[in-house]
Amino acid sequence: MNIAASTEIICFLILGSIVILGSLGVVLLKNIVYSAFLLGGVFMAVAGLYLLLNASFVAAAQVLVYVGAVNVLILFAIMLVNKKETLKPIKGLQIRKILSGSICLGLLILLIRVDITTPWPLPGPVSIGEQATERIGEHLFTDYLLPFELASVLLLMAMIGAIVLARRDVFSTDIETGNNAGQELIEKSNAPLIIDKTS
Amino acid sequence: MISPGLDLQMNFEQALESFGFSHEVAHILWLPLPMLLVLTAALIGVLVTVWLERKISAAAQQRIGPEYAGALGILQPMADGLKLLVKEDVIPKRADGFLFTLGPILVLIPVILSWLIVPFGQNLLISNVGIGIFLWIALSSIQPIGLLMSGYASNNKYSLLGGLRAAAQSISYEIPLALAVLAVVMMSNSLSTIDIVNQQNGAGFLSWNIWRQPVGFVIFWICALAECERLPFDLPEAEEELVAGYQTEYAGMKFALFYLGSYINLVLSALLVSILYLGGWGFPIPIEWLSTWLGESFNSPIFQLFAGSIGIVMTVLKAYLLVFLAILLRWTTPRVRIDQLLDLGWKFLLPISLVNLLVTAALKLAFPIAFGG
Amino acid sequence: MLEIGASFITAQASAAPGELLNLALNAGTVAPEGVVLVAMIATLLVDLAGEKVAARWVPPICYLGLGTSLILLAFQWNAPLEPSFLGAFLSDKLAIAFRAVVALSTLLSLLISWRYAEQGGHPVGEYAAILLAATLGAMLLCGATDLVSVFVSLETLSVASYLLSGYMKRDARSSEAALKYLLVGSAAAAVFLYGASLLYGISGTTSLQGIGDALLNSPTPLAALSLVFVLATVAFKIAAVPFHQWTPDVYEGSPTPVVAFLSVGSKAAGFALAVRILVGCFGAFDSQWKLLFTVLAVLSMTLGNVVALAQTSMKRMLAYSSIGQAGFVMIGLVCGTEDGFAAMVLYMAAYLFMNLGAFACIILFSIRTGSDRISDYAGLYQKDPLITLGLSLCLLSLGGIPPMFGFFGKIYLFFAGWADKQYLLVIVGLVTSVISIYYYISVIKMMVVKEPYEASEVVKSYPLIQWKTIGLPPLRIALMTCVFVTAVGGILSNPIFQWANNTVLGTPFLQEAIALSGDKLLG
Repeated sequence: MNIAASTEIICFLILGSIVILGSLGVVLLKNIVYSAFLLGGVFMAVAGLYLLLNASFVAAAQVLVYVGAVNVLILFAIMLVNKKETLKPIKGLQIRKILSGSICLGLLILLIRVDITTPWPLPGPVSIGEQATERIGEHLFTDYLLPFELASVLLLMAMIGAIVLARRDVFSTDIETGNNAGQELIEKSNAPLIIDKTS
Repeated sequence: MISPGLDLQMNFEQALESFGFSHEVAHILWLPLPMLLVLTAALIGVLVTVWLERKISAAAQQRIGPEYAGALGILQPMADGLKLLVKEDVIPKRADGFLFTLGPILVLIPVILSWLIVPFGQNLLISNVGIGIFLWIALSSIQPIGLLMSGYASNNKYSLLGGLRAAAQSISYEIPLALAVLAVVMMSNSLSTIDIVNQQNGAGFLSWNIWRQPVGFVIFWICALAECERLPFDLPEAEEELVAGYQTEYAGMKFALFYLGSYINLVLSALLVSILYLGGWGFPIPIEWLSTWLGESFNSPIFQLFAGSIGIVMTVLKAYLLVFLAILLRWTTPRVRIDQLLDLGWKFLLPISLVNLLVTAALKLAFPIAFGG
Repeated sequence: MLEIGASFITAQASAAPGELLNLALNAGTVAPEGVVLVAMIATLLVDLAGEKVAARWVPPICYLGLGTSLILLAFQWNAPLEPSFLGAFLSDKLAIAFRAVVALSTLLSLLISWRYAEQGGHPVGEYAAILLAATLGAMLLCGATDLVSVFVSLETLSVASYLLSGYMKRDARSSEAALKYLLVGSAAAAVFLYGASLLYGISGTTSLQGIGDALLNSPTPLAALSLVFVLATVAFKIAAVPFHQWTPDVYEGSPTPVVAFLSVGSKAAGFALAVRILVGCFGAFDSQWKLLFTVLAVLSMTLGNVVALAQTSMKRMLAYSSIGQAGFVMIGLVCGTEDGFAAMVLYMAAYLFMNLGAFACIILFSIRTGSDRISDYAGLYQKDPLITLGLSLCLLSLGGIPPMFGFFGKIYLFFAGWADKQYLLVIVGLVTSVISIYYYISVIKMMVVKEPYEASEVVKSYPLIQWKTIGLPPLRIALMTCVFVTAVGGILSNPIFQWANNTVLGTPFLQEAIALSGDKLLG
């Protein structure tokens, strides 16, 4: 084994363990701010994995989108509403945790088993390295043109929807009759779905 | 037309191999060198900038400025650095020690890494990665995480507010910045900084991108100032409102890291403006003309050396011209309000940069010769 | 036609740089979606002029867009079949039929929404725009033949649905519904992506046909795993038990017109996706997915109809009944015969009218009274004969009472199932139909049989019926159309039968699958 290959394996092992341990931390840590920061670390490590696969454009895009946008937004949301709330203890939480943990473990074992038994077509396709950016662009404007354009509709709609849900200067009279409208469902609630906090 | 010029890596490895090292060992020995080189270059850049800042601010306020440390106070930045280095490192009792330490590091590292893509000549850069300028955009998006981290970890309301402001400002201005870069990239058909500079080197200063992208140039410069948190956009550390923003609780070396980060970022932004819009290492008149006037063959080693050093000097000169502009702006303009800042970013720069991108695309289709077909 | 598709796939796999750019996109096939998109943007632009202008101009824009879209779809019916966007989209007859169902369901949902949204004080412009975006996603999902387009259109539909279900943002129920839907939906999307990435790993292509070919040659355990993942997402979208938990809460908390769209349009798109992925892609795992779907269908029919018995809220009852109805439709999918698919299409069309008719009635009732409790409907026939008649007809049709449209749809489904020897499914279907008739009839009984003095407080103080308010005339049109089609569709069902059969005949990949399973039976 030459130096390049062994460096690659060492890098892979380090990045892989960062991803696994980091994601475990994201799920298990009590402090949600730590979880969010760890998530950023996991995203970075994933970008590193892309780099190892010689996909530098995808790696940079991963950093830009996931670390620079998604994770920062998550942190923003957490820090703006970082209110300590004492939640009511949930009944049988321990059993639930064990149950979901064992289901996840079962799924993991299944995945590993499938992974081992599958005859993967190795080695995979040769990386095109630096030309990848051009090829991605080419595909986006040919066979993936439809999803590419649709994604812009999706983003536009998500943006409008987020603004509608977030804005405060709401339009709250019935435009026809001029009556006050509560911006609620017209059907009055029968039994509260959410437990009333005041009682 | 494009000459190979100096290739540091090849020369270095060949030299080592001639001493009897194997190729791989030579390569491994080469690996840490660029980082060291970058670090040194960035540090020297910062020292010069700090000195300039002190001197120019003094001139703007009709003072003398630093005077005793070295000639014209030239050693003053060193003294500053030394002071910060030996100062006691305080971590507030209620702060989150780990994140408090990690924050400034996360702010500094991406900025230093971004220097990898800054070319000083045809082959005078650390790594000619294909994604070039995109790497810088991606790396600079990590910074807000570090700012938020240090703002949160300080356990101080001013710090938290400063961190949030810094992150908001950074992500708001990153979008027009990236769009401005995209217009340049579209013209040069490449993300590589080398290709971007080469595309501007046809006819001296007349072929610089600033003539083809005047709007993009202004947008980029405004956004770069906002990203560096320089006045008039230094809200995250607005003294009157937030003490010192996310830096409030920091002292000693950790504070120095922030300080370094912001100055390295300033120099880096100036360098990138010179690369994207001012022809990078290009001399105002084509260097080939010089060779004919001097009667020296273009490919002769001496001329190559001369061209290489001219390239470095030109890049640095252009960059420091912009740094001078930034310093002048800092000491002459008032600070904007946070709502004005966000309005400017989202309601003005973003639409303008989108229009700029569209117009560039249209011009590229209409005049492929002038706008890179 | 298939050869063209195959050549596209090979072109996609082995194209030299730049070569792809020279192939024809054939983008005309998505013109119906394009019209919807234009309507959406026009809606947003008109909305800039203020609420009053929006309330005046948004409805006609939406009608125009959706109407044009339906007309364009009708023109596509006999057009030659060619894959468009280099294999990302295929406008075969199945896609056209389901896209028409989706567009029609949006049109009817919009007709019944205006008054509802205005009475709640909600901006109608954005509401219509988001609903149109959901329609766009659902319509593209019906014809998407590429994993990437499937995923993006699925997400467009889903994200729009989350937004719509949380549209009554001051209402805790609506917010809760949106949050639940978002969390569960995102998890489902993640599972789908995982399955899709496994499929890509096995076959090296994102085209459904290419994946199908790759799986045919080498069915591995990995493919079975990805089948489970993909199937879970599909089951989530059509709300099949046990992936139904989100349904009752989301249906109760969402604005009622949105529920109408979710229960018909979104579900139709889900079924189109199910057919395309399971039949077109997992042909090699025919027996496995049919077994899984049998289980899902039996559970859905049983649980949906049994739990619906105990509901006191009209919306919740319709939510559970829609779970049961999805179970019936799955019978057709499991059959995999020509009759099975045709019955599925037919039942979807019938379900569109009867379900939206029922929703139009309960929306009108809640606009007038502000209630959706079943007990509040007591004695309604004396105050509001139109709602009583319409709701009765639609519920009878949903229950499968002759001679309504729903009866013919259901009988065709059971016939197809029986012919394919799916005895268990048919028997469960028959039994649960009887159960469903019980609770549908009990609502009708509540409205019709009660004496005037037994009428509920709400009905006793029923407002004077008037149709002048803006937004009510469209509701009346939608209500009457749905009720009319539901009542008469059964009697005039022959052309619709033919239409459903033609849909299956004109869809190459369904024909292939039918031929394949026929060979299996013979061999």
